[in-house]
Amino acid sequence: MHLALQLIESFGIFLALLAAGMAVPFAIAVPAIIYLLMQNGIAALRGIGLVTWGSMDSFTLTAIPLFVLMAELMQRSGLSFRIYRGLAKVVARLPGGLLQTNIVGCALFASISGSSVATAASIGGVALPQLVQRNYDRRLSAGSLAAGGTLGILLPPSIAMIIYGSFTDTSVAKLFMAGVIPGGLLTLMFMAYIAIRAQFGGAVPRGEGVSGQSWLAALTDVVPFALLIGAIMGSIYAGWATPTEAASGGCLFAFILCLVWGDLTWEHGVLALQRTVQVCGNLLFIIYAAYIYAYAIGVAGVGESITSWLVGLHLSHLEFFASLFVLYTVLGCLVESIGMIVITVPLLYPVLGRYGIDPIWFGVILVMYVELGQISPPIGINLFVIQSIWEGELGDVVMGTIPFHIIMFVLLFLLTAFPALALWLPSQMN
Amino acid sequence: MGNDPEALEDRFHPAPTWLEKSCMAVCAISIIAMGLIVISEIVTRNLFGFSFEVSEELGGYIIVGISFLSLPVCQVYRSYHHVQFVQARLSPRMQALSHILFDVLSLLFCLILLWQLTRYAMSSYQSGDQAPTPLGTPLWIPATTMPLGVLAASVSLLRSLIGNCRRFRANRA
Repeated sequence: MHLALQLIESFGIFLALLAAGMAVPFAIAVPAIIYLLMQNGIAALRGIGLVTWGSMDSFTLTAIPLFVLMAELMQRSGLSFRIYRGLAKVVARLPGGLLQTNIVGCALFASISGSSVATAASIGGVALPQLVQRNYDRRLSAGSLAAGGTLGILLPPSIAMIIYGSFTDTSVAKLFMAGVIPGGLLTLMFMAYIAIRAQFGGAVPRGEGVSGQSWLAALTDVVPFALLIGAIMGSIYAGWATPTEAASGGCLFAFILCLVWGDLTWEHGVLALQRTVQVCGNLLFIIYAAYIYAYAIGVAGVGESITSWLVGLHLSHLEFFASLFVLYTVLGCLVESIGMIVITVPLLYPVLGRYGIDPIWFGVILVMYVELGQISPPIGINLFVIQSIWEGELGDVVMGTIPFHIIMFVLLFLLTAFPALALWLPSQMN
Repeated sequence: MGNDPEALEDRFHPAPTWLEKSCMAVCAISIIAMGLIVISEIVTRNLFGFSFEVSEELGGYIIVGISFLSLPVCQVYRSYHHVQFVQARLSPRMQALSHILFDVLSLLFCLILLWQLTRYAMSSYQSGDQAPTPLGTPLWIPATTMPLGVLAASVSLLRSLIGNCRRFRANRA
């Protein structure tokens, strides 16, 4: 247990640096180096070059910048506004009005962006001014956008799933497909909740009538995105393209859409590229730092000890899931979302096989926990994204997300009880 | 949580120089190049029935390059995520002090990385390692982007450290 104590110490340093406000990737990397030095002194550092090259020279990771660029192009050229405008009319008859638009808009944008933050920022930026203007329930408005944004990492393409796939050598295409039904189900559950709230009146409208002509006109704002999503998902599902190829094709398609339908100027294009570099730089550095951490764990040999210890506990499936539930619920409140995946997966992944857990299913469950973490105080990033756009109280955003938390826990329970919800679609792939 | 700590006063934070701007431009061009390479692979494979078999190899090199050359960009443009709930409760002087500590730790990490990655690139050059692919790329070429990026990040971190020391002194008065 001496090694495990060292691991706990280094994890404690990580949490302390993170809480103190150090940049997340450095907060992972610095304790990793300290842990390495604790194991074998300077000699332990000699493997860093090889580990660096071996981990980052990865074709799987190439999908990340392309999906991020696609979302940035759509955002900068004002197409997220167009999606929202079209959807506002398409779903206007549903009880909940623009709140339903928030959820469907987030789901739609999620299907082209891969990121919760991009989804919450894009749809939130367009939606919140209109919601405030029309006196919608403030808490529910903010909560629906923060929670709707989390769909960005469950519905494919999902950057969180690409990262999980790169750490576990699991098929990213299958992971993407595994997220479709749970993501669709979660969208419907969010919409059902808003519809029920609307029945009680208050500042949540029951829906409004839209003429058939206006409804058809609004479809023209939505159809191009549906085609883009269909092209990306269809090509991956049919086995015609890898996720990276689908991302490249999607980027080109999005670029054409932005030129024809949006307001894509040279300045917007440059801004989109600059933002893509910054977002990817942050993500890739977090992934790299976690690989060094995983290397340190490997050098110490503590990973095998932890696996043996966990297996030796002889937990039942239910007990194992309950432990995961507690672990990730607590971590979600303390650790940044992608950091949560990269820190825990190298330790837990070897245990999955011993408990007969499907790694694709586990990937979906893990992403659900990350989603919860993104709307859990005190560090849930979506809360801050919405608060910064809204300029309201953080407490109101937090309170608004609580019902959505409960809905997500219900979906977690359903996924545990019925794993086929996640595993059926990947099993049908070519 | 956020990536632009409002608590920090901008006049002390280093402005982007040619170093960060060049790294940003190289990364941006690399992303476009990666997209074009992959698209050309799709086109040749599906329309002409052959493959250059280079997209996976070049894509991997480009990801390595972006990962490290974006480090100075993220440092100066404040793109890294920070948890702010403790920072928000500190006085400006303590904030500056904590950022000096973070910069020192980060710089030490970068210097260790620079040492090890330079060793790796040099050993790759000396041993004449080549990729076992049709391109047969000498691996020291893409591997060199790793120490170059970390070197640039160290310079940016040093500038950030100097800025935070000035901030600390300014808040002492």
